Amino acid sequence: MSIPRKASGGHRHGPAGRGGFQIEAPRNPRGAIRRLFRYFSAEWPSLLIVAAAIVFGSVCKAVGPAWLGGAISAHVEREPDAGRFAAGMLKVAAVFAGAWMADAVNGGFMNRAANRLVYRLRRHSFNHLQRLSMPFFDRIGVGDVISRVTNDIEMLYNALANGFAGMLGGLVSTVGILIAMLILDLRLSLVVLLYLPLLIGATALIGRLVRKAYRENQRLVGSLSRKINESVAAAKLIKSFHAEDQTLREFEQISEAARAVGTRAEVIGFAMHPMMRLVNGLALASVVGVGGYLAIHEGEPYTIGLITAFVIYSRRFFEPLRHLSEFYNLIQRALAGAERIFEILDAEPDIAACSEPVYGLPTAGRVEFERVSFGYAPGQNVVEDIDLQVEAGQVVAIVGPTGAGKTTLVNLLSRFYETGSGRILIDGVDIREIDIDSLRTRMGVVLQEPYFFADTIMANLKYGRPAASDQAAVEAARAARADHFIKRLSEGYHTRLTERGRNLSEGERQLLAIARALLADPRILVLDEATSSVDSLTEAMIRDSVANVMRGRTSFIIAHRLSTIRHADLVAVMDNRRIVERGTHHELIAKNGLYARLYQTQFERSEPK
Amino acid sequence: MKPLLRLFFYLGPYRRNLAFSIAFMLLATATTLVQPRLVEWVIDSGVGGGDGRILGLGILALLGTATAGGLLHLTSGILVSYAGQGMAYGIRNDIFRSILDFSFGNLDRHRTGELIVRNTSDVNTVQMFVRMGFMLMLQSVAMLVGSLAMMFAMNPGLARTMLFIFATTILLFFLLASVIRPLIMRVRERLDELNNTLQENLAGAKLVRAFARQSHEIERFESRNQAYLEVALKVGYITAMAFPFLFFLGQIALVAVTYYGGLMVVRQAETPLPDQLTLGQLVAFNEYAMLAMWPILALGMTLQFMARASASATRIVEILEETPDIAEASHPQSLAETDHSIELRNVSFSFGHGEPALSKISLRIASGETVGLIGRTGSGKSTLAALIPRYYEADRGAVLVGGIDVRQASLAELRQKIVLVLQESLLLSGSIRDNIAYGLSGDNHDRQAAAERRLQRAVELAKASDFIREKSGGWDEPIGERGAGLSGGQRQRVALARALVRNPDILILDDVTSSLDAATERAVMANLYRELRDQTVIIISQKINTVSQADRIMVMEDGRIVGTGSHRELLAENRIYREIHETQNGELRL
Repeated sequence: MSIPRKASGGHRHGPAGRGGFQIEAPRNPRGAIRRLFRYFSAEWPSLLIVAAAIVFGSVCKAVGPAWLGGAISAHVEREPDAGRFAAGMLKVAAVFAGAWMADAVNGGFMNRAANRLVYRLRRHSFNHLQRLSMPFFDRIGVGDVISRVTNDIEMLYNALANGFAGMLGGLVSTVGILIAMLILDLRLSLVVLLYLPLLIGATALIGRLVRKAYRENQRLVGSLSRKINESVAAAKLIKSFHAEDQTLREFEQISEAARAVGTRAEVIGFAMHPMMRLVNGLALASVVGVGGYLAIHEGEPYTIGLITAFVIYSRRFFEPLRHLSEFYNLIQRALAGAERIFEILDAEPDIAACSEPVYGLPTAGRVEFERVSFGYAPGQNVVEDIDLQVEAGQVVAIVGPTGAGKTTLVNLLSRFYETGSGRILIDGVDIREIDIDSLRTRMGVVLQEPYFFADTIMANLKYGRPAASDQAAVEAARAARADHFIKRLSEGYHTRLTERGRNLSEGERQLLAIARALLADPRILVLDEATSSVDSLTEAMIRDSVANVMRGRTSFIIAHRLSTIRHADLVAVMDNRRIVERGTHHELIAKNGLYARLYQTQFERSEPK
Repeated sequence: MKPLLRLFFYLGPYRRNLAFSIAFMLLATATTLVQPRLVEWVIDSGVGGGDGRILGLGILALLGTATAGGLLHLTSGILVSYAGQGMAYGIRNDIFRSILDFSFGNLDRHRTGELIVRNTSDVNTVQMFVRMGFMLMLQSVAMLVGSLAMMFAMNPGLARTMLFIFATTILLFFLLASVIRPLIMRVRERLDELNNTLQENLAGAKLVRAFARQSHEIERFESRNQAYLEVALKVGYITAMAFPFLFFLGQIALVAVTYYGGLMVVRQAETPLPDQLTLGQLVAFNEYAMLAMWPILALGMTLQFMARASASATRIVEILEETPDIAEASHPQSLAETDHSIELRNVSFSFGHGEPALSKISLRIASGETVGLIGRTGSGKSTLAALIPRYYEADRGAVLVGGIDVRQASLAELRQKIVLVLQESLLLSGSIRDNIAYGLSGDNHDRQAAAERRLQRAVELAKASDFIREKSGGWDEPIGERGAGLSGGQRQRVALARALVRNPDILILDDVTSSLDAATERAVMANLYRELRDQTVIIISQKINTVSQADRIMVMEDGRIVGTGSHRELLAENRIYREIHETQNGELRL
């Protein structure tokens, strides 16, 4: 029986996520092993001790039963002698104590090595992830990255702490027992070995069947949880259309299928245990039978002591082999996980740091786009030939239909993505030459979907400027018209937000995000659809106070609602990747082009019937 | 424990399976317990007596019991698998049924992910416990008691020694478990913290970069990482010492039995004792000692399983026992077929303990009237709407539909009569047709052609036909989960068409055209005003343009209705309405 060294772990896979019983193979096991080994090499003192403990423990485990049997044969059967027998048994106890110490040392140091390795791997991954930029997350997907750094690393830990040492220890002790048996007696050893092919064959066969059955099972569990997910997400819809019965019927169908497949997978999996008992029983019968026969017909050295030793050996011999296929799967999965982690560590930051960056910019906040083109995928430009000069202190509005490329300009300006061709200058310096932290700490970007940490409102407000006073935070909240709703919350500014701020409404989240950006005291403020869920009256008030706070600094405003931007110093109208019109509101209305048309449809006077 | 017991009732339909499974398992244990006695017989009578016939018979018996034990065990396992999976099936369906019975208020209190975990991995844990925990526990007890009984039958003196060692082991085991369990919990907690930090950091990757806070994040993660390492190492060292020690005690039991047994055999050779012990018995005793040790170690595993299963069971039972806030009246009343009026009498409502979302609202909407509802973010428009089909229950006052209090009305009829289209359009995975035809469910009397006509008309009214035609799959274009693959405006139009297909007597539209461009929105609204003459319609919006053509417009502010009238009347009389109008038409300079 193997007792897990750590009871927890391994149960954090998302319901429909990777993991569970799915067996994956690493693409390049050797490469992954080599790199893991490099990580492990720092732990060489621990590993050396582990290796020594494994060998020592195996010797003890191999010698113990032989000495036990020997003591019986010599001092009970042949020449009964209580004193010598007692001494013999003490030696056996000492050997078993040695095995225990060896196991403890092995387990302790393996655990130390594995934990420290995983600690370093986590640190490297996290630190590296902080250097990676948005294109990387687009490519891999945030959910996937999270799964790699949580599930995959945990799996690796389990494989190292439980699987690796267990498998190695098991194999070494099997070899030890084999040697001990061969030394004791060849014929009885062969009797035990006879069952080896049977056990290995059965284990391999059952293992394969189990894997297949579990894969199918996993698929069904996946569709079950998708069904639950969808039904819960759409529960309000189901209720408003009173479709509960129909939904339940559909669920029961999948549930039924999952039951059938689940039962099959379990039954196959269950075959392993009785199989083991059968092999143990057969081996026992054979050892006793053949040993007894030899004892009757040949006598020495076939004594009852010898038979006892072989009875113990036969049990121990098969035990580690039984777990081999489990260990194999565990290690395969861990290596596949390790490969995914290394993939993260190998990712080059798309935004390279400049060798001699300019610090302290932007100051005034003059922004120029010079023939900027960019696409998220090569050959598919999302913005093209963007030329735009914004003087320090101006309010610039970027408008245009969905998909025109407005948000992309923000992404380039904050250097979330690197400009394809052309360049962006801030206060006359190419943004690629500005120190990226300087750039970002002096820019306040309010994103379309604001993010918040599971922390207090106060802490979230101060995220961009941790040193700010509470008073300054409250003032920023007032300017963003967030103060009103914050004060109505149960604990005001000390109310804890849930992850992403889900305990606030969409409009409230937007107000809070604006307050956070204002508190950061930015030289350039970017509002990307930052008030889309806020009513028009509140929006007008925010516009007013933001203008106050940002006086003398540059603001970019992206909005669908044109009332938001009417007061802008410069309006750039984007359509189909390009800036097609620019000017003030009045100039553009007079021009009677796209802007005038957009404006017309939005502000046409209401005609009551 | 109690919740786990409660879930065991789901095994009810499979009690025969379970009973046979237990019986077979006990028989299998008995075959194992017989083996050492057979070995004894073989050694003492066969080998010791030099009788080849007994030797042969004994071996055959050993082989027979081993085979029989394996087969019995297998059968037992198959039977219990059926029972366990059946139980899981029952629990799963009941949880799902509970979730479907939840009111909106219940749903608001749970996260989707949490409900999924209840119904997948928690159910799994409980089901695994039946097979790996419960059965293993029974088997362990049977094996332990059986081996001890056999030992006492053979040689009480020796058996007492064994009992002492086993009792010590069990005691030590529980002692260790009580030390280790809280530590393991702490490891789990710290790991959760660590992973949460990571998850937050990555989910907010853009924010972290926007504010250049990477070094702060690295520090935060590092401190969590170290805190975890610290306690993980501690637990690792303790468990590494403890569990091999228990195993060592098992070995000591083996040595002890051999020593005392051997000693007796030696002394017997000198002076025959009344309490005879033969060599064969010694070997048999050895075997029993090993058989008895295994369950003690296995018990540790089953206890772990049990702790996990009972935690899962507690969470499952919480869901099963959660009473829906809104239940069908005991004697539901039928709704009038022709009266589509709505009345609110002095209605107040609040979410939890916060300030009231609605206070003392009274209003009457006549059958067939079209009413616009306008007001600022958070003024209570959506809350008011959700009370009408009884998604939530008013704290005070009464909501009447067709003259009947909604608390007395049949829920099925109420929701057949009223459709509320929500702000965020919830679409299901499937084709566009599946989604729109979802509205047809409820009345199955429609013939194919009539159903098709209704679909077409709904899509025309919702101005969805153009973009559906442009999709490569047309009506059969697949939609991903939550409407992935459609733009926000397209999603809203599909949701609207779905509601129109239903042809409800009362239609409530909660800001359902917000993502449409101005021209499309105007066309959709014109269609609705023109075509929905017999129905009662409530249109909620932040935009004046959307509601201005309604028969009547109500203005909400801070959970109250602060004005009612036509567009012109409100422009003249209502300050808030005028302000909203001005911000939207560019005349207000703040």
